[in-house]
Amino acid sequence: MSQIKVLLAMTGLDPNNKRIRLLARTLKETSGVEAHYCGMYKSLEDTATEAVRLQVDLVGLSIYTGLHLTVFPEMRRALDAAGGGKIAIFGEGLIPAQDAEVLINNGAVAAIFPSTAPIRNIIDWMLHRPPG
Amino acid sequence: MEELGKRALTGDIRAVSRLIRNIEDQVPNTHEAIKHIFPFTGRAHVVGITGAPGAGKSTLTDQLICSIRAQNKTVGVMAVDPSSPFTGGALLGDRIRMLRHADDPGVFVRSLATRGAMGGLSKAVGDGIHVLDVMGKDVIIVETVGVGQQEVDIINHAHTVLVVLVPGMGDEVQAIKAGLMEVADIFIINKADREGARKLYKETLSMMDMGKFPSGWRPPIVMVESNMEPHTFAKSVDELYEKIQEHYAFLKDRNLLQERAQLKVQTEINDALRSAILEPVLNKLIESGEFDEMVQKLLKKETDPYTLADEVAAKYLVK
Repeated sequence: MSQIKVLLAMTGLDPNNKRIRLLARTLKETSGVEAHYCGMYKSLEDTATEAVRLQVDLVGLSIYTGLHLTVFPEMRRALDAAGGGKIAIFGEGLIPAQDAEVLINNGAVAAIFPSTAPIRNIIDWMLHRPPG
Repeated sequence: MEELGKRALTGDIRAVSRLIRNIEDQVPNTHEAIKHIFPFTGRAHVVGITGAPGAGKSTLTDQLICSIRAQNKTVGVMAVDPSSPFTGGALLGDRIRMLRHADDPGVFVRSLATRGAMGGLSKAVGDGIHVLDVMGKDVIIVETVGVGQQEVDIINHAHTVLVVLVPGMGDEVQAIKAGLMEVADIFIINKADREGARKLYKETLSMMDMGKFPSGWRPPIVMVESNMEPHTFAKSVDELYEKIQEHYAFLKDRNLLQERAQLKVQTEINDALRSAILEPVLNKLIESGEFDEMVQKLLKKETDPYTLADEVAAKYLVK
């Protein structure tokens, strides 16, 4: 009985954690996904270490500061360095479609959901994502 | 899987993490890895910490890590969170409070979500403790919400059990109801600067006067004040750790450690038998649809649970 396991993270000085808390809560109550939420102001390295220790399938990063083009590739590098090469990243936040496209194309993230996307879309994507 | 066990023995963080994840997921041949590490277990001092949600278990654990590390001992922490029985989902965030130890190689903190499986809670915790134990951790802290029989069962895996009470929650009655009074080796009255702490202290004390302590250990009550005063908070927790060590020394001196170990292996063989005997039978019944049929029969009152159980036993039990 393998269950999907996600680490939800915030980084830097980004204080807009409402959506990620909502996502964590919705995951728990409707989907059967195991969500770990680490709180705000965490470094990417700590997040990566945590992800590897928990052996999660996914890391979800919420970014509302406009730094997404820098942070997502950094998160990818941090995860790879910590030995979490197989862990996929998804993004959530104030991220324009053209930036999302860049991030997906350069392999930093598996998917990006704009802050206007319903929470349900994120969960559906998680549940129907091919494993591995 | 055996390979994973071998790597866990060397303290390889990734192997340990993977192994615990496999335990959570109940990957079928995880048992092979546990078989491999079992002979090397039993070295760590296992401390259980339990109490109502919001009692401050995580904050205490976080500070306790500091007290233990100050004596150059290594620590493993397992924070157990029950999964939702309805969706199987879980939301874990304990380590928000413990991330400050993330860089310390002598500390390994891991949340454990307990999937609703039968008897799975105690088994997963028992196996998880083994993994942290062979990883070479001197002290293992198991943190669990003290509600429900299953959580109280976890206590069977610990040498020293801390029960955290807080004033103003009607706790003295709640704690008796939850069966926590009997299992405590040390009581902690947390947030002791709050109103009602003295009252709670007296009530706990008078309740203990009614109790019997066959082992000769009368649980001390440690008052811990708010962590808003870091210095006094740290000092109280240092004292708490002294009491924990005292209890461990007491167990050792009186050869009571053996008794606790016996309790633990009894639980373990119980769980192992369950997963070796009951689970395969149940799975078969569920797969073949017989289980649903039985449920329907019971709903129509065509038979009763005991007759059905006897029938299943007659079919599968070879005497």
